[in-house]
Amino acid sequence: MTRNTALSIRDLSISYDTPEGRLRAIREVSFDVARGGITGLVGESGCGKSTLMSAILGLLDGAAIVESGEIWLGETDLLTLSRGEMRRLLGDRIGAVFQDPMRSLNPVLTIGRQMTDIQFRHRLSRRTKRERAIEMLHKVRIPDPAARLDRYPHELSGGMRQRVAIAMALMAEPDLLVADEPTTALDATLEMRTIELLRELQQEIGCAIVFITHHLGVVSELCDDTVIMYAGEVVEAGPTRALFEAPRHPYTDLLFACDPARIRERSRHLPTIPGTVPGLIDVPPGCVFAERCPERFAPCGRLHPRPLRVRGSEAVRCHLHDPEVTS
Amino acid sequence: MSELLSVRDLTVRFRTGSALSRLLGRAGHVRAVTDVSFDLAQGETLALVGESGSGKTTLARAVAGLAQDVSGQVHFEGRDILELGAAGKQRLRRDVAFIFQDAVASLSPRYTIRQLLAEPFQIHGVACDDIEAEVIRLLEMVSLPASMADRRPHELSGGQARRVGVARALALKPRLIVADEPTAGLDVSVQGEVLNLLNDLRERLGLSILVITHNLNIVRHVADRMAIMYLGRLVETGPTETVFHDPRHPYTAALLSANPVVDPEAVPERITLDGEMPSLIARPDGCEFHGRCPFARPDCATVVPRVTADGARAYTCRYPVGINATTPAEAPDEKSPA
Repeated sequence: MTRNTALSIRDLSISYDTPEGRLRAIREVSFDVARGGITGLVGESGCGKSTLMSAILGLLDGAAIVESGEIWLGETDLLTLSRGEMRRLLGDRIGAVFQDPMRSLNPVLTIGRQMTDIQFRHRLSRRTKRERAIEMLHKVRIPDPAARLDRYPHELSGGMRQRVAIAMALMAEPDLLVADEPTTALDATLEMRTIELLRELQQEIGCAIVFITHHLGVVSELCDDTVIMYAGEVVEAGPTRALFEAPRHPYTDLLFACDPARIRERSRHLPTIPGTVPGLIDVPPGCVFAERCPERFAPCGRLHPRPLRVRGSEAVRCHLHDPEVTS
Repeated sequence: MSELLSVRDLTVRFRTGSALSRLLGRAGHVRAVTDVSFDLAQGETLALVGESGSGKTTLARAVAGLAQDVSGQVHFEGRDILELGAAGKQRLRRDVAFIFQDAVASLSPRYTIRQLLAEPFQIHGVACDDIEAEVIRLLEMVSLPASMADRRPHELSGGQARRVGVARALALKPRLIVADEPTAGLDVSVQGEVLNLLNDLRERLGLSILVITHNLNIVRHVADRMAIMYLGRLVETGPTETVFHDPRHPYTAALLSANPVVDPEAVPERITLDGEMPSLIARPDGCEFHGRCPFARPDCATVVPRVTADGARAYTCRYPVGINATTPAEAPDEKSPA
């Protein structure tokens, strides 16, 4: 944990008890988010992104068991906090934006009411709170912000609602913003504007962002660092530019190759990764990707790869790069 | 190619809520879809692109005979579906099948996959000698093992649930499949699987596909033609490659230029749009896009543009991008679709 790190996740493993056995949702996950940096978290559904996000936000459900690990926000390990202490951090030092803004905004209260309510921690007059709300709406480029305050969420367009949600999340100037696919429901022009807005606000407020998405184009444009997850593990992590230029893990490589945006020639038949994700109740002893990996060799099936620092990438879990592993 | 679907001047209206209309001092209707015309040939894939609220889903529902207040003409295999009676509409619903965005939510959690796949036959009273064989045939068609039949929707992965959605849509041998955001929320490799499956089925069964999406990257690969919607109107239609390479309508150009590029080195030239999509209740005068159009001229605010047909394409703009010498001729989107 250095002073330049906003969020540091160390060896985090979380499981769920299910009738079929213990499902090991995420295992030995470690990565850092720099202060004022943006980290993109990429992985298919079921890879553990949501569990990880819930853990950071203290929203893990009752069946979840934290097997090991730490989540450091500045000097605080979030996993050691009580419910009350965690609640005081949320909305203050940690903000969150979700995929569907309609679900995070209350449909029966005006935007203004919700934006003043969220400032309950501050001992300010109602009028000052309202002014701060107007200022924040102005910052997220909502036209005519004073009039919008008296509107209900359904009276705004999808893009505006998402910007209101962003305004609310950033109102307290948090240290960390967790954004879970905030642009998935928007069209391309709105998506770009939302991303540019996030980046500007982030520079102004200086918060760090964990950006969860499927959209590789968004990651490469917005994020400083990228973390690739597969079947509950971080298979590769590193600076975005280096990682996109030369992915070191075969999964990252294949995932990028599947992105229709990267295929310049029009093709009716899109590439896919053959095979399926392994079950997480009986996690394979070796590499989690071995079964689908075109470059697998003898040790991949039995030896679990350790995270290695390889040119460009800061942590790659792959035997191909491990000088100590030979077939 | 013969036209399977031919839509002319289709308008779909919604009655505005009484409380809201009183508040605004105007009772009446909003036109969610306005004067839309397009054709869809057999075996063709048409992509419908536009931001949320632009009327894509309403248009698709109207085409399937599921909208209430509709004017214009929708010819499906030569019959005008707006003239159909109840029995005709029931029959139409066999020919037009939907694949929904949220695959798991569109499948009842209380049913097994077998029951879900048998349900369309029961609903439409289609006699079926051997329902079990039919279920297995459908599962095979979407490359799922027969053992899936005993599972329930929550036991499936996102990609598998979508395959079941496709299998269900195929049950009654439709002619047209309407896929509403078929890959939203899927990662790129699973997305490729679903799109490849739809494409294989299109080739094998001669299906036509109307795909609604805002993912331009998949449009470029899977669609023969694309139609761009703005405020309930089609502002541009044409062959996908032509539109990507050389868009005519400024909205299309802006949309294509905003498509994120997977290349951290590239600094794409973007056309930025100011403001918001206007409300359907207060449609702007003249060209409805003029308030946000970076190339708008004074008369755009007053003169309503007509549809300009230009070979296989059509657009609704009086000063199309890349045609008139006084408009910015060097289309800034030239490299972004690549």
